[in-house]
Amino acid sequence: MNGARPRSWLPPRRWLSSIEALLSQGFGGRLNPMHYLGALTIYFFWIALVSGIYLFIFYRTNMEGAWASVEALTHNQWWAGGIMRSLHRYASDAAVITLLLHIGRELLRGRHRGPRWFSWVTGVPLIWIVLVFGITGYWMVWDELAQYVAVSSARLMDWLPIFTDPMSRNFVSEESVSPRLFTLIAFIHLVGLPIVVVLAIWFHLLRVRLPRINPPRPLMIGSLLALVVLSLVLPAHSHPPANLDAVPQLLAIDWFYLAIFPLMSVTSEGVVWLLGTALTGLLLVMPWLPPARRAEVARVHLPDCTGCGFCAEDCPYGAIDMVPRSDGRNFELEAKVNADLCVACGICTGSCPSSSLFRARRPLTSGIELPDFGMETLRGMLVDDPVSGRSPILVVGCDHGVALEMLGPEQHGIRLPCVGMLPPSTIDFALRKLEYSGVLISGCDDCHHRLGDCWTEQRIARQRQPDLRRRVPRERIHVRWLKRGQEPMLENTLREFASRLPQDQQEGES
Amino acid sequence: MKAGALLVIIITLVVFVGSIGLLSQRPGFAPIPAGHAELRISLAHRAERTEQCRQLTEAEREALPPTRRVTEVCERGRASTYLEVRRNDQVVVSETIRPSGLHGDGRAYYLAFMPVPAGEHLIALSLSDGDGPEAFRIEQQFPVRLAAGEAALLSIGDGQASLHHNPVRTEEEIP
Ligand code: HEM
Ligand code: SF4
Ligand code: SF4
Repeated sequence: MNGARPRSWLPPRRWLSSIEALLSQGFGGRLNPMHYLGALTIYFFWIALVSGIYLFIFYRTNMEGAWASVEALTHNQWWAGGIMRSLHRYASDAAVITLLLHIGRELLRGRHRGPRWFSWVTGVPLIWIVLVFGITGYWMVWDELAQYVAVSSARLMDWLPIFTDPMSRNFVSEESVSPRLFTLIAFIHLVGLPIVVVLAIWFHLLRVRLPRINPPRPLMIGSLLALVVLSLVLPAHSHPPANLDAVPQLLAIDWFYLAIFPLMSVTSEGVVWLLGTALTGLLLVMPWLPPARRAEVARVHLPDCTGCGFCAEDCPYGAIDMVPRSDGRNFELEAKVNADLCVACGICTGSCPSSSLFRARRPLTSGIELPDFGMETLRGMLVDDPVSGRSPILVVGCDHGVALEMLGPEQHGIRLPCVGMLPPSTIDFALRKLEYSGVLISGCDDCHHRLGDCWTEQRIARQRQPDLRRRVPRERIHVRWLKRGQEPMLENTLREFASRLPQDQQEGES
Repeated sequence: MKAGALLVIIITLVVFVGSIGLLSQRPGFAPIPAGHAELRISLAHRAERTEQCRQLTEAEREALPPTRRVTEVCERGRASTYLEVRRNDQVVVSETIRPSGLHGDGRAYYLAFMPVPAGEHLIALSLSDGDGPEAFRIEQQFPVRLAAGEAALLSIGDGQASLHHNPVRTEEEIP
């Protein structure tokens, strides 16, 4: 086994990986919901939007009519309005679940650090926006719960030294209640926040190239059906209408959105603000906690760069710009790396046509490489390793997938920062020059760097440049995306793949 | 599809919708303890000025630009308001409230939401806003009978106080 750069994962990250591995076994890697948490969050907002538009058709946007209009919707047309109402609530709750999992997953996988800080930091305001979205939604019903939410949010705002006339004075009695404030909140929920959420998500994804914003269709259909079933089994209901001359007794709280209010009731406004501010602050500085040395970013080696633009096309973070040639050579463009965006995945090395082990020159260079892991490193692992060519199968893994340490001493595995870094010609080289009978590519299931898995498959299938030459027999290549913790599955795959390989090859070469 | 895979999918879906169904309404929460009502105290009071308005002398008026030649000037500041509320002889509020506004020239605001056991209460209010000739004082008592879940509003506005209570429950329900 080669490529033994240290890789230690804290237990929570290993647990996450085990849970995800289980889900991948159930759903299959391509449909594992954990791989689409951001996309699912967006999808649940879509459901909330569509159901919300339906509700809005029948909703009366004023304090006097709101409760009765929701009540009519719920009971007089339970088969449409009632389901839509429940869907609206439950899809919004579902979005909170996927959002929390999304945050936790990115955090545990360490994808909040380095140049990815931008997605992380622009995600934090989204938590507040989503929370306010839900809270204002509960005002809309103007029932006892809405009353509690209204009074509590007003008291929360009053704690801040911004209003001279306390906002909660609006809610001390039926006489004092202000229909204008209600209309303002309705406007925020129905018009303001939908626009803000879209803008904020757009901003959040600004630095992510080709983000996955739609979950795969089976996940969409499955989760929608599940929410519809829930809506039928447990339809959403209102409390009795708000009465500010009374005080609500027992309330059915939506803990996904309203948990801060009971917290405020049992502690104080100050505690809620303190906790909220502290958590937000902590989340905001998380990408730099603790400060760490950044991996060295990719470097362009102009003598090998022809300005083809493949690397710029493939970089998952848009970190490569094609700029006018600076070295006088007879090409129009050259690649230029933006160090602030580069996550040092090495995928660009896999994209560069000049990355080829067939080239004899030493040191071996390529148009674009990671200083810590270039073509010379790859050559060292493949050609110069004493195990090289001894086992029938070459296993190519990555820093985030199965631990190749499980391979026996006679088996040859190499670990790259990302399998997307593997120039396709390397497969040809391994089979022809190193006389392997097969190459097993096993990168992480749901590429840590995004897109490395797609590009690898497309290059092998000759759908993407640089592609694998036609002469390479595809039955001698096997691709299996696995998570750390799925080492036994790699073993099975290896065994099965070996049994499928043409026997003459194996005998002749092993 | 293998049975194991199907089981994983079903468990995931059940946990997912189950947690939504559960946490979107349970456990319930009672904002005030069972058997309690709420006493709300709302004060918005313009206290006396710290200095009286006075007429400008002729010389002072001459010194002002012609467009601003007023006859009377008033210092903006107002006194703090002292508010005390006792419920059945027990002091529940005792606060000195500063006037609002950057120049301390606005109303004094105070707002409290207080759970109280259901039953009879005697709410006594004392308020004073300085010691000058325009200083204002209230000493007033309000008996009130509250059922669980009812609210009474002790409202103290400019120059007057009242206790507002709209019974919600029927008489028999009052302990
Ligand atoms: C409404 C809320 C949110 C939505 C809809 C959302 C959606 C997304 C989507 C679609 C992606 C791209 C995933 C991919 O293509 O692989 C993403 C990435 C990411 N999100 Fe969010 N997100 C939200 C909130 C948050 C929050 C609150 C945080 C953290 C505090 C966060 C942190 C991240 C990070 C670190 C990435 C990874 C970017 C990368 O690959 O470098 N997101 N999000
Ligand atoms: S190493 Fe990865 S992020 Fe950096 S330039 Fe290359 S492809 Fe882009
Ligand atoms: S892929 Fe290689 S040759 Fe093409 S632009 Fe990038 S560095 Fe230059």
